[in-house]
Amino acid sequence: MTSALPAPDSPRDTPPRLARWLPLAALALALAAAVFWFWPRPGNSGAYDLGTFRALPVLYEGRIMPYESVARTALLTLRGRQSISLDGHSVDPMAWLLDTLARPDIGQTYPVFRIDDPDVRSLLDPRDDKQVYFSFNEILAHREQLGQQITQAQARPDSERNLYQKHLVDLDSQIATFVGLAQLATAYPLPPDAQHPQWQSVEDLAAAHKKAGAAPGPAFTLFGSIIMGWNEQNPQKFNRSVQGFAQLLAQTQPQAVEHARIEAALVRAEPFIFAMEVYVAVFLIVCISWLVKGPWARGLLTAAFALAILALLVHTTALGVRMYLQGRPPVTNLYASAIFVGWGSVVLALILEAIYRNGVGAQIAGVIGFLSLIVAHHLASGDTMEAVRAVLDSNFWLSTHVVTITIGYASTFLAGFLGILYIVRRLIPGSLDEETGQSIARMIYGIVCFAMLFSFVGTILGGIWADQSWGRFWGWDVKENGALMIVLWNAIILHARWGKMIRQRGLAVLAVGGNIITAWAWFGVNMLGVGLHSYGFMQKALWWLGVFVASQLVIMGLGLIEMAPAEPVKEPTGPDEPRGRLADAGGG
Amino acid sequence: MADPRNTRQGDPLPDAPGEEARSVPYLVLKALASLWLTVVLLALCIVLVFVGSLAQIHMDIQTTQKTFFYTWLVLTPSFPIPFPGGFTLGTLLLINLLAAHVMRFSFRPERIGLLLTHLGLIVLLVGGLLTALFQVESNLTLNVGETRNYTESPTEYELAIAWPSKKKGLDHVVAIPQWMVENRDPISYPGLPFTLHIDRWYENSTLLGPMQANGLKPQATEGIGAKLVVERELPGGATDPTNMPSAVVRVRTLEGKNLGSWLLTSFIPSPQEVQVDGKPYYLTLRHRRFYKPFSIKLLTFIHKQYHGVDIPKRFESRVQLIDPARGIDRPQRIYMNHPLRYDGETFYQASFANNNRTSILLVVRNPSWLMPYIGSSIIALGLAIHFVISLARFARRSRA
Repeated sequence: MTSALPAPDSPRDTPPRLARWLPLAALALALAAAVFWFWPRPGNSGAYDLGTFRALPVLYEGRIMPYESVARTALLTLRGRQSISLDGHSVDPMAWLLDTLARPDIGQTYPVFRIDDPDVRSLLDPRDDKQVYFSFNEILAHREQLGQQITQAQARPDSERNLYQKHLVDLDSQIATFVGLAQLATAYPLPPDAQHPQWQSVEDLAAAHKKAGAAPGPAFTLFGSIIMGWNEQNPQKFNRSVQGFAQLLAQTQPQAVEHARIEAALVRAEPFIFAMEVYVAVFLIVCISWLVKGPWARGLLTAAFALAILALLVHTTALGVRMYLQGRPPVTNLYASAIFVGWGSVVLALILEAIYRNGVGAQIAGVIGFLSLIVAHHLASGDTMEAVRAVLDSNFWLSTHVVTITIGYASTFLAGFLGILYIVRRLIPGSLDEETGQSIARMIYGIVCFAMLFSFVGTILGGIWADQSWGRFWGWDVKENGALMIVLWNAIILHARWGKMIRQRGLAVLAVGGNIITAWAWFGVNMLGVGLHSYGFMQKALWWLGVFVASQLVIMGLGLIEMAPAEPVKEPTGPDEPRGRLADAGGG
Repeated sequence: MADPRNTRQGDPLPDAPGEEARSVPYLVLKALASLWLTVVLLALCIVLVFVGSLAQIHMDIQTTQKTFFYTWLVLTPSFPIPFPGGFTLGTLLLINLLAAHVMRFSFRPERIGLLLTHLGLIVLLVGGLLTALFQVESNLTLNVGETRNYTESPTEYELAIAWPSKKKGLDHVVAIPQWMVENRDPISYPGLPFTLHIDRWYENSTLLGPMQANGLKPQATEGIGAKLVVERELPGGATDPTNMPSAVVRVRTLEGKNLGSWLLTSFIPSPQEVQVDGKPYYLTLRHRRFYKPFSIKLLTFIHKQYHGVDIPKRFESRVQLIDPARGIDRPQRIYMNHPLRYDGETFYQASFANNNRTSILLVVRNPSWLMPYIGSSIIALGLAIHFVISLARFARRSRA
């Protein structure tokens, strides 16, 4: 972490005391915020021991998870968010889940179905145009008309359905999710025992015992009395059974109990939201540092760097816990890739910050950290630690190919955002001095080299995986093509620079182009309707992709504007040139 | 690529050493070696790859490959102008690369990374070309308990004529390749008492039953096809990208007597009988077969799902590999990421059907399968070396 370059206009006089304390104060404030944020939240609601219940393990969506995750996953699948409210009051997801399981009269009144299609909504006689969320009772009230429409839509082949019909089919699967959960048919709460090697649903076990004429075991009885305790609104009964059930699980399934406990804590702590907020703070602090001079600016930059490291620590820990819980490399689905892209970019950006200490790396870390986590947040459309499909079931390839290519994405984005920073600061008079311009250009060049290495190696590893799985090294499918386009784009940047076709500004403009290519490689495949089944979600994502591409094109256009005074007159130099003039700029 | 010390601004090539070097061949070589050409070609590659990705919304992957990548010129209605295809761009990049190295070759230790990268790229490009030319893909579809000694082409068909031989349980078979049927030349074979005339050929088709035909007349006069009407479909149609060809075939004795016409179609895989001179002959339009010197028997097929949800966890075929000539008779497991490589061919678990009673293996013969491995290892090594060298230089300068 030694400084290679002197901080901007470094005066030798003693800085004001306040400025010296600034980084420490900011860090202390952030730490206090972290303690406040991560302090265990009360898990109980009124007299009920929800704190114990929410952390108990259950098999749902093909994996063991805590009830907390069942509630949040189901809410996310049904209504696109992890929270719910009734009559204007926000409700604990756990209480919602229990109401759904045990008190149908209340459970069916929650507005859990999000319906975006106005034509589908109109089938349900909405109160007004603004009503987007509907309860199961409202669905039931219109079941004949709805059922008829859904049957018609399902009769058409998938590829020939129009949007209205696709949304109807989506609604049908939402209803199936809700009903499956409410009837306890798709959740498997009862642990394996001597007769049953797998987790059991209540239905299965009841049927099996009825057939065998045997009395159900203690797990069945305890779980039943949890449900009854909630149904009767009897806290003593509920709490007694929850504790009994917890003891039983702890004896028979210690590992599942441990994993569920950790996951419940992770899910409730929402560490990525915290990291996101700190990343924003980092970005803003660097912006403010441009407005002030001297020691104040240096203090702010140090504070930004410290906060960025704090955010990265939280980000890393949460990523690590997810990996531990899944027993998998970091990237197993689109959501996890966004978390990891953000992580990789932030690590690289902070390495740059450690080398240059001019705020550029910290600022980019703030921007990319925030953006990638917000993208991840919106990509979560169900269980984010879902079971890994057969074709992906290879930790070796997941950890080599997928991780490498994702680092390739991350670094290409990093170069692109450095490009944006260069272009934007060039347009703000006085904010891009020659030295900063040169150092950003050098960063871009170095990161593009890094991106070239990782995207190429990642692509090739993908080819090898494809050769191992499907028998062809390269098949020109959309995902492979996306990765290839990143490699080609980085190759263009490097060759154009080597051929002196571009200088600093051209480098920045082309690097921003890399953002477009990478966004396409990352999400474009799913937009083509290959893979993801959630049409409504993907339409929205397509819109956002369009917005992103347009914004990048605008920035590239801004980069092409001639601004004579800001353009360095010196011949551009870079790390590839043996006798770079930049060497003189160093000397701290 | 060029050493910045001996280049002029905007011109990566060294100055011509003497007057004679300014000759036409020199200028041509210089143009071919220019970095501008590299950048333009790479940009064209990006456009091609992008359009080739978009095309896959409506096109199956094989057609996409043929239309955009394994071709010299892209000519398709979905693309407004003729565009250089994958072969053209690959070849030009190769020429550009070779020319650049001929023009500016100078060995210095710090350039070894770039040199290796480009050497590996040559191997990769040549390997890609060889694969495009020589790779053969076929399917092996096996029901549980079934043994087969041939694989089938997924896209190509053949017209098979079979008749009983003197040996019990064995048939004589003549297979007419699809291209001969498409040419619609009369088909004869020594020993066969008839010739076949292709009345109609449909590259892709649908069948209409008597109720759907709406007054259209069946094209064939004999066999099951006398009740069916064939309709032409666009090849590689949007709903189902695999073509279902059909042919209407007239059988004529050697004396010229017309025995009627039969509908041979990929929809009906069972052979249809034709009586000539009191002897039975069997005609089918079937997937082109590749016979092997060994056979494979499907013992079981395993399809596991995660408990309580229909996410697939495992596909596995357990087969018996039987090769009498080599004295091999051994069990073998084929599952995701674990293919069987045997006799220059690779068998992959590709799909399944028929309620887990049928396993479909993809069989690939690719003589150049090692080339991408070699090429990409060299490139990865080259990039890594270059990156480390650049990093070291950067660190040196930062310390200075």
